[in-house]
Amino acid sequence: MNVLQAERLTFAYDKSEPVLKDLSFYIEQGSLVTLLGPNGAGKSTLISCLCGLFTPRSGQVLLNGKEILALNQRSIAHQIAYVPQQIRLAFPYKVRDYIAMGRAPYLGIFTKPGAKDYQSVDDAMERMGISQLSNKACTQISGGEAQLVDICRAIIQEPDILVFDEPTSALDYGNQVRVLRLIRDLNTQGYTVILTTHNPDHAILLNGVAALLDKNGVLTIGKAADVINSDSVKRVYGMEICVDYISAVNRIACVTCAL
Amino acid sequence: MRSKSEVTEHNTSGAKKPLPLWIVLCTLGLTLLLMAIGALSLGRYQIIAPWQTVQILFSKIPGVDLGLPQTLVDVVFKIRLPRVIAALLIGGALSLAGASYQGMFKNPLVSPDLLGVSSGACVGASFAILAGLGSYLTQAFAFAGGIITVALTLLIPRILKRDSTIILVLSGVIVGGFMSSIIGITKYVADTETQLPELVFWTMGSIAKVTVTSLNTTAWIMIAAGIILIAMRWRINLLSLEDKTAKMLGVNIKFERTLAIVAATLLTATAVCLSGTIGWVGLVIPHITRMIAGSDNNRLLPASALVSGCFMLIIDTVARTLTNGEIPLSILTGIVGAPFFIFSLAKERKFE
Repeated sequence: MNVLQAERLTFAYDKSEPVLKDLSFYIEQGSLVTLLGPNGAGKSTLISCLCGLFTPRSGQVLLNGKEILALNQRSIAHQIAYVPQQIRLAFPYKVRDYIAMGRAPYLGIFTKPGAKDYQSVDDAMERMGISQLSNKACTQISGGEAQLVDICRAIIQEPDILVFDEPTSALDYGNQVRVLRLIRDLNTQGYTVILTTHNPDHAILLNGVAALLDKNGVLTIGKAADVINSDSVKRVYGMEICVDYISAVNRIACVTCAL
Repeated sequence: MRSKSEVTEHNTSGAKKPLPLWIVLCTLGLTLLLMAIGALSLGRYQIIAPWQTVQILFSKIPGVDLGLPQTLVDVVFKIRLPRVIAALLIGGALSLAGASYQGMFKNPLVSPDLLGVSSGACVGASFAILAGLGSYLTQAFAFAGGIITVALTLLIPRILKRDSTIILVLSGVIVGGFMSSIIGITKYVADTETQLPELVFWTMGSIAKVTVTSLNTTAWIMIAAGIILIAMRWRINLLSLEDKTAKMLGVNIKFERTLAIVAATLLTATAVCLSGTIGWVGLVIPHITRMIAGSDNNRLLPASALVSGCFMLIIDTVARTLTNGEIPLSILTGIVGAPFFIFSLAKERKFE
């Protein structure tokens, strides 16, 4: 079943040239989609369109068969959870209180999370192994911890689809790999996952669907093994990049050539 | 899922569990009550023993006759009690509005005048004063001036067709600056003997002229708007997130922010029309309260209303007892508020 579908999607900021041109594709339930593309190609723009945040110039996005712009923000939030690149907070909320904000789509405007909501917050933190952060301020935790906290907040939202905007870009090398593992595990548990990344190797590691967006707003989408190859990566990034089998790690990998 | 040792780099124990909210609120409420009794006991006419003040308060219960001197009963009920109630309401209103504004505009340096409500109210009041209208109409003009100014501020992003928080804040700065100039003009043309002192009253703040009648008309607006903000205080947490994140949490930003702005504006406008503009309270008290109750608006909003009530009681009691005249409140709130602000910044250490 297609959970998300783009039909002849064209998007432009104000009156400028379109960033996304006539894109049609679909995302199946339970798939793991890695969206790649150079800076300025429109990865974040496409994600925002898929989440119903931006209004396309023409075409439409369908969420479970319904036009996403016709849905209200609350019912979109029941189905899609969005994990931003970094938590940016004006105030040092406690981690537990921050995660509890994930319950917002289920709460009325004059209510606040009750004992039951906080119970599910505590359970999710326990499962993710971050219970010890509970009473820390969000500003006091490390980048890696913050990413986990944000993912936890997204899970509390009980969505079908998890959307990550560059989940690895603020992390050190080790934490990048750990977050990729976590994302793969979440996908195994049944979430449909969409993420953007700057590293083609991530698409190979995750081994799901890869979507390659080039500077002209053209999207190539398919199995990661089919889409990510030396030619396509070279073309999109305009750089000598090699996708080949590397015996030391026993897998296909994407590496750059010498500077 | 992964175990914690894999992703979290360091052991992070030691963060304390916050005190339950009801303990914080009960402690603050009790402090407020004691301070109110103190404020009712102090005054220029005669200092009453606190226990006698309590007796006086109970003497109004039908059937109770403690044989207290009528003059003291009158001093407490007719002169001091309206002022004490006004100080509590105005203090609570200003810091509720301030804390909500800081939350929804994602900026801890925001005060309730951000969208121009205070300067607009001053313009309204000064027009009424120049026209020689009475005090009742002056208050009505102040209220209307504040509301119209905020409406103007909200209109600018619509005209520009750019609906972002930054544009809204900018248009608040623009409209506020414009209104300040108009206040300047009215001061320039005002009669220095009769009208100028009254204008100064509006710009520096005083509770001296609050009457039971003016309280009766405004208190209800204050209480209603205060209840709305208290009821939606958890939503202020959501509004304080980045717009995109809040939207993806299902928040109807436009509607909820507008509702909060309307409530906060009503609070500030009613406070200003009772007492003129009182600076610093709406900015500093939420900061100080964050140190006591934490940043979560669920805790911050009710707690800061109580802290602010205490603060205004102290300020107003000093203003009416320290000298033979009345000291304008903004002078005192500035002198006390500025050092407190530095203290809270040093404690928070979050602007590095």
